Amino acid sequence: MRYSPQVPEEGSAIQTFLIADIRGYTRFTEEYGDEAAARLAAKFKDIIQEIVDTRTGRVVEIRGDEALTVFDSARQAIRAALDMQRVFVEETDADLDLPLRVGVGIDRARRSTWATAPTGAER
Amino acid sequence: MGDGSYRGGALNVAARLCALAHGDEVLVSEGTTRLAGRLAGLRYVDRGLMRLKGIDESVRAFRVAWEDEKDDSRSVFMFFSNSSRLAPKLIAIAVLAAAVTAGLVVWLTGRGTDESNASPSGAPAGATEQTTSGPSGGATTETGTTTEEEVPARLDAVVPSTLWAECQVQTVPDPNALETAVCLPAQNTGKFAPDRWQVSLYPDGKTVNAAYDAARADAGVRTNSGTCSRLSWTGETAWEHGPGQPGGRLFCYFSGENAIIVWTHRRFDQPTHRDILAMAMEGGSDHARLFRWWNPRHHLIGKAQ
Repeated sequence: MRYSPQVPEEGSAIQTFLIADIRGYTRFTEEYGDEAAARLAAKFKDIIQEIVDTRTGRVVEIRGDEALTVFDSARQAIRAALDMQRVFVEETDADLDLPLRVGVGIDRARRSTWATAPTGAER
Repeated sequence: MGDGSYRGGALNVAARLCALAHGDEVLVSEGTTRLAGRLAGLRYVDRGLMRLKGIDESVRAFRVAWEDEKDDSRSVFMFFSNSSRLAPKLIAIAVLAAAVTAGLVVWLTGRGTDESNASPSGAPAGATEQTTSGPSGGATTETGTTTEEEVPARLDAVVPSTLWAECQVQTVPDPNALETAVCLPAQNTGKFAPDRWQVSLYPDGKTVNAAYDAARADAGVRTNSGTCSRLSWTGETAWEHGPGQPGGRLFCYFSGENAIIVWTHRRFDQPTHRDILAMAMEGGSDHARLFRWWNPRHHLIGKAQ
């Protein structure tokens, strides 16, 4: 994934990135088709958006099975990640046809060092 | 530090940690754990120094775990535990790790209440595991005394500002409550919101439990029955912040076309919490979306942010 985020400038000097990624999405798509994959991605997006909003973060970008979000508070970012994992597990238990096994990575940076970031991770 | 490579690196570390995380796992950089400090009910489990593609320096990563969650074989201590010949060395390492941990915890807790002052370039952590416990944002001294200030007994202190914007404090609170607010979320925004939710602040656990039990009895829902979830909607049970960490109780039911969920969020001697009773109602019987709205908001309503 290559990020070229247009991140808002307001907020505190130190920001915390949270990146989430659905595990096995490509294989899921191959096995169950585009329609099921689209429903899985939509569910992922809804949960991410909901929790990030609630934890006062911002969704910078969601591309299918990957999401980039940013928080003014590292505490809120970590709490949001745990909230996400809890909901992903509950949603997977409730609907085994749409398994949401998601890895999450978190790091922080001073705003001046990343606000105009032209590129990000390549995987 | 202001050049493009660092900018890329800032995002790269999060992306690389994400790629290394197992499904259902959260990995954070050491700098992030320092910035966040102690978090109630959570602990950081050291995953060691990692070489990340595209990052010049090794990054120490931590897995975020529930405090009561059993650790797995990733622990450094587990690595040594099968060799009795290493016992003396293990003890020495344990003593050293404990000393470093103590220093780190003091260092962390002293910073936990003010992220804006945290520096991302502090001393390296040598602890195998940083266990965080106690109230969120607490500053625990070396003697273990909690110095955290108690959150005031007002609803606006324990409802997130984004949610509080929807609320209006009522002139007359519910019986035995200190304060009651009715909240009417904006509709037709493209995002789900219940038709109405309300929250009351109570002076203690006894009164909030009495109010909860009265509401449950009125609704005709039995204690420890049924299920409240996306798929099922009539029941009563306890909810937890994490494994073994009680948060409160909830019940759900239908009243005509209305899906209703009622819950407590208990203080349990946490200075950051207050005893509250809340209710949310969805008029279109869409309990699945109501449940998703409720989760995770029930963790936030009743707790200072």
